[in-house]
Amino acid sequence: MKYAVVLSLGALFALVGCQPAQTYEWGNYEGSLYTLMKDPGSLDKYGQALQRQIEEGERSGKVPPGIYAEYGYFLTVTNQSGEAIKYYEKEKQRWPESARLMDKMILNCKSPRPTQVTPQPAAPPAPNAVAVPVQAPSATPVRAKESR
Amino acid sequence: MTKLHIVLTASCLGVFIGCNPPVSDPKDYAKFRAESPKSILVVPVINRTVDVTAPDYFLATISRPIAERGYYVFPVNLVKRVLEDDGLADSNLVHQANPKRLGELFGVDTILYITIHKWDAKYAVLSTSVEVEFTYSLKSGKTGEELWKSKEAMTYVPQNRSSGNPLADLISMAITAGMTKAAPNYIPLAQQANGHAVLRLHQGLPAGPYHVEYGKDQTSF
Repeated sequence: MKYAVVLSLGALFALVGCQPAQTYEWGNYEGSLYTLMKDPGSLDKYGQALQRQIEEGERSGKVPPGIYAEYGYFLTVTNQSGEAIKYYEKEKQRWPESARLMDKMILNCKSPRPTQVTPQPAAPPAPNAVAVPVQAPSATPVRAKESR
Repeated sequence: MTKLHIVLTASCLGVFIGCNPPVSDPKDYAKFRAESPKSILVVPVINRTVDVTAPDYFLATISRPIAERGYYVFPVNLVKRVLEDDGLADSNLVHQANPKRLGELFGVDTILYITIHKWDAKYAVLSTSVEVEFTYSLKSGKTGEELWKSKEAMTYVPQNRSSGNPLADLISMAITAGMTKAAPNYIPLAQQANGHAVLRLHQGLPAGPYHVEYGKDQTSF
């Protein structure tokens, strides 16, 4: 009997992927990401799956960590930066742990330059990019010399 | 009743998937508990197999078990693309980078480094087995120290269920082998391995801050 219990427990775990009841609404997240990796052309389907997952998750209050951000990224790469910012903000609000990365993603959406997030030894965090006129001053003296 | 139960359970399952882990010594969670991390950044996976698609496919299976364990998991696809855009497409480089730098840049408590050692299908005439093996190493984004590690190996072997008729058994095995050969599906195995890695008592990840067991599972981890 003990054996049977162990076995059926094992079977139960195997059937549900060795996990207890789910805290979050996962929808088809894993399937659609797998498909996206397999076929980058399925980007729209991936975006739709995320959107559905968010709708369902918001209904039950179970949107998983990272999903708002993934949808935001989908919007970013499909040139919907304005919308993307909303989802990065949502991620940040729901999961404060994401704040630093989300701030970078939002900055990236707002500024034309890509935001630096790679490890760069001793690189100070880029301040609100101030355009420094580097070329203008050097151009004038050169021309001045030529004219003499 | 017992025998019937076993038979029913086994046939219900249809396949044999090793879910009873080998007994290992309980892990030391002192460092882990001391840091009590809230968030985990899964960086792109190192691939030691010949299957070039393995790391990307694997990435689809890792967020759920860790999030369900109660941690904030950084969005894996976004993180991968952002690193790529910044010239860090090579997972070896990312794994070599100082965890403290990653911790600082992403504002993350811990970084999870995963290596795929096996992602194979072994084709035989009558049955095909699929095998995966991963190692996991969780490092602190504050100190760079390793807080937890694990290794998981999983094998999927179509079960030999005797129907009492040898010919029927042969046909059924051949059909199963043919199906596996057509599309060896590693995803369920990867899901299982990840589930085991984080959930197994005295071996997995203690419950994180978004889990009801948070701070109450010292006897299990």
